[in-house]
Amino acid sequence: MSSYISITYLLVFLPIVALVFTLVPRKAKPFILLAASLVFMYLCSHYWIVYWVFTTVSIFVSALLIEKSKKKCKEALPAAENKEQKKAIKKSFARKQLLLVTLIIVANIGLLAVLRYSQFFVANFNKILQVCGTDFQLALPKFAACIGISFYTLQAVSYIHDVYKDKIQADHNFGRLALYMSFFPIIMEGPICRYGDTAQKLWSGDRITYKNFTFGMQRMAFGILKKVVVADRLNVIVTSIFREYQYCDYDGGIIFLGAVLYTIELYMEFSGTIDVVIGSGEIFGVTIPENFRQPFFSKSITEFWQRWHITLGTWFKDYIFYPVTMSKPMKKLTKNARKKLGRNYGPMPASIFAFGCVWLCNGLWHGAGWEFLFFGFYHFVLISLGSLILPVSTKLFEKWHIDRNKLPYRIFTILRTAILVCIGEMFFNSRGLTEGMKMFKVLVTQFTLKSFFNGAIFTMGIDRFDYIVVLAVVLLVFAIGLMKEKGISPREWIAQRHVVIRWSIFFAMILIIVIFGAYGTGYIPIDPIYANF
Amino acid sequence: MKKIFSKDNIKKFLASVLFVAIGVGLLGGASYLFTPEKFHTDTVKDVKPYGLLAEPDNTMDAIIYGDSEAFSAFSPVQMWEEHGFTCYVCSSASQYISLTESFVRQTLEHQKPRVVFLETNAIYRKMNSDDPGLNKIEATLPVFKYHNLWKNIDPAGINENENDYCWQDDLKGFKYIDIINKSRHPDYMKKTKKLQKVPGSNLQHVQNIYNICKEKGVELVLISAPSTVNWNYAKHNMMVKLSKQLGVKYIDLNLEDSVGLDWNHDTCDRGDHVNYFGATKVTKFFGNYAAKTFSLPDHRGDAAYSDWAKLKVKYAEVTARSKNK
Repeated sequence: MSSYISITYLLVFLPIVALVFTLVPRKAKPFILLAASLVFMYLCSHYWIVYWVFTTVSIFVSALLIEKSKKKCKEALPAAENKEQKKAIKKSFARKQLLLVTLIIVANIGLLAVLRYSQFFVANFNKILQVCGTDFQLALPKFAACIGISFYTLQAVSYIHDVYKDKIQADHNFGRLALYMSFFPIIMEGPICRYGDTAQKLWSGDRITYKNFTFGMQRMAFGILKKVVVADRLNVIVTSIFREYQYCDYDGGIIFLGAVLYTIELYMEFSGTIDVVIGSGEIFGVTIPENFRQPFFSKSITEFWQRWHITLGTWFKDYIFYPVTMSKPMKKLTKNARKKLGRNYGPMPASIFAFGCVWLCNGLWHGAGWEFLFFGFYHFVLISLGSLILPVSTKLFEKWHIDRNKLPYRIFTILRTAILVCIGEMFFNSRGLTEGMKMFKVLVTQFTLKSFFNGAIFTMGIDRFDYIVVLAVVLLVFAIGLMKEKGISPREWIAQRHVVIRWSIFFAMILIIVIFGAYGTGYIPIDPIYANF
Repeated sequence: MKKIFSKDNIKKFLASVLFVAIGVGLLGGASYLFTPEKFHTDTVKDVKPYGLLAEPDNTMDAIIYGDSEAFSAFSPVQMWEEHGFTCYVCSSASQYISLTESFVRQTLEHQKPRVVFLETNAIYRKMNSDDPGLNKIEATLPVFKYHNLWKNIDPAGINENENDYCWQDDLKGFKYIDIINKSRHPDYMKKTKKLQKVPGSNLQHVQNIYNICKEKGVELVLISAPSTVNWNYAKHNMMVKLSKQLGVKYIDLNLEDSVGLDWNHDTCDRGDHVNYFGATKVTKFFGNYAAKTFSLPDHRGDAAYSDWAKLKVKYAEVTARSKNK
C-alpha cells in the first residue's frame, strides 16, 4: 500500500476493517484495530516491521521499570531517618530513572538516525576526505526502514518522557500501547499523537455510529478532492519547473510560479491526506489531532508554524524547546542577559538558542540533506528576526498610528507570510541546496511576468482549463477555511441543510473528484510527500 | 434484535441504499456522456490511442502498442509514404501494461492487422496495487477511464452519428517533437549476461496480450524502441528470454547500428525518447523490416485508402519547421 488515497486502502482495506470491526463484539474491537494496523505495517514494510517491534517493546518495558522504580522510591522514603536521607534516596532513584529514560531515548533516536541519516553523514564525511586530498572513501550505507519510523519514534519518545515526568501512567496493557504506536491511519504520515490523548479512546472499542461514519466519509472525500484534483494535477508542472529549469531557461516569474504551485501542491497533498487520516479515525470514533489550521491565514512565520504541521511543532515545543530553555545553563544565561539587555531582550539569547535546536531538528526531520537543514535555518532566521524586531516595530507602529488590526494591513501580513513560506518551500523541493540557491538567484535577478502574458505558463504540462480547476478548488478550500476561522464547522453546517441540498453537495463533490481528478492515463500521481519519513 | 431493526435504523439504511443508488446512477450517466464516441476533439491530453477506435474497421495492417517510447519513435505516415502499409501507434505517456492489455482487447475488436508490435518499455513500468482495481472500475463505469476528456465534451455532438464525431489522428498516434537535447549516456548498451526482472504481475499481462492476439489470429512481435535512459542490456536479455518463452519474434532497435541514430541530435530529452529526427531514422529501419518480414500490402493508389494519401500533405505541413534545425 503506497498511499491512503488509493483504491487498495479506500475500497478494500478500510471497508474490510470497518466491516469486521462492526461484526465482532466490543471486547474484540481493539484487537481488530491492532491486527489491522499490524497487517497494514507489514504490507508497507514487510520484515522491517522489526524496528517498530524494538521501539514498542523498549518503551513498554522501560516505562514499567520507571514506574516500578518510582514505587520503590515511595516505599523506601518512610524508612529514611531525616530529610538528608530522603533527599539522597530520591536522588538515587531519580538518577537511575533518568539514566534509563536517556538510554531508551538515545537508542530509539539513534536507530532513527542510523537508518535515515547515516548515508548523509557518510557522504559529507567522504567529501571532507576528498577535500583533504585522501583517496579513501567510505562505502555509503543503505538501510531499509519501517514505514512511519519518524512519526512513531517521536510518539515513543513522548510516551516514555511523559511517563518519566509523571504526566501519564505507564501502560500495563501491551496491546493498547502497540495500537497507539501503530494505528493504521496515522502510521504513514502522522499526525504525531500523544498517548494521553488517543490511547484510551483507541482501546475503548466503541461501535461505529451513523454520525461518525458519515462525518468521517465527508472529511475523507474533502481530502481526496484536495489531493486528486489539485495536488496530482499540479505535479506535472511542478516537476517540470523544478527538475527541468536548468535546461529550459525559465525566468524568475516561472520560478516564482513553481514555488507558489509547489506550496499549493504540498498543502493540498499533505492536508488532503491528513483529512483522509482524520476521517478514517473518525469512522472508528477516534479523534485524531488536527495537523493544519488554515495555515495560509497566518500573519507571521511564527503563527504559520502554529497552524502548519501542528503536531510536529507542538512536539518540538514540548520535548526540545521547553527542556532546552528550562535547562540550568539556559536559566543562568537568561539571568545574566536580563541584567545587561533588560527585560525585553533578556530572555532572547536562551530562546534563540532553543529555537536554533528546534529548527535544526525540524530541518533534519524533514530529510537528510543540506537543503532541508537550510529549510530549518531559513525559518529559524525569519522567526528570530521577527522576535528581535517586534519591540521596535511595535513602538514604530504606535508612533506612526498604524492600526495593525485593519483589514489592508492584515491582508498585507498574510501575503507577506505566504510569499516567505513559498520561498522556503522552493528550497525544500529543490534538488540540493546548490540548485535551490541557483533557483533563488534566477527568481531575484531575472524576475519578469513575460511568461504569464505570452502563454508560456500554459505549455508546461497544464493548460488554461487545469488552472481554472485548480483555482476553483483553491477558492473552495479558502471559503471552507474562512468558515472555520469564523468558528463555523462546515460539516455541521451541511448537516443542518435540507436533505436535497445536503445530498446535492455530496454528489457534486463526488462528481468533481471523478471528472476533474488528475488520475489515469497521462497523469502520474504525486507520491505521499511525508510518507517516507 | 429490536434495537437493530428500529425505525431510525431502517430509515438510515434505506437512505444509505438510496444514496449509493443515486451515486451509481450519476456515475452511469457521466459514463454515457464521456464515452469517446460521443464527442470529437483534437487537443485532449493523451487522446491519441483512442483515435484508433475512430479508424474504419479492419483498415490497419499493423498496430504498435506501448508507452511514450512508441509514439515518439514510429511514424505511420512515413511508413505509408515509403511502403504503403497502414499502421497505428496506439500508445500513451507512462502507460501501464495493464492498460496496454485493455487497448489490445478493445481495438482488436475492430481491427484485424497482420501483425501487432508491443513496445517493451511499458513491460518494465511498475504498477501499483491500485491498477488492476482501477481497470475493473473503468470497465464498469467508463467515466473513470475517459474523465480526462472533460475539456472537450461537445454537448451538441451527443446522439449524433458516432463516426462523424469520433476524433481521428492525422499522425496516426505519432507524436511530433523537434526539440534537440543531447543524451549524456550514448554508450548505454553495455554487454552483460544479467537479466533484469520484470516487476510484479506485468508478465501475466504480456501473456494475456499474447493470448488475445492468438485468439484473433494476429502475430505478436516484441520491439524495443531506442532509449538511452530506459533501456539496457539486462532488459534486452530478459526480452530475448520472454520472446523465446512466448514463441514470438523480438527486435531490439537499441542494438541495430544501421538505424544510424546520433544521440547528440536525435533525442529531445537527453536520450529518454527520440525526437522527430530520430523517429525518421527509426521509422525508415522499422518500415523496411515490417514490410519485408510480414509482407505487408502496399495500398498506395488504392482508392479505398485515399484518406491516407491526403495525410502526406498534412504530415509535411506539421513537420515543415524541422527543416531549419
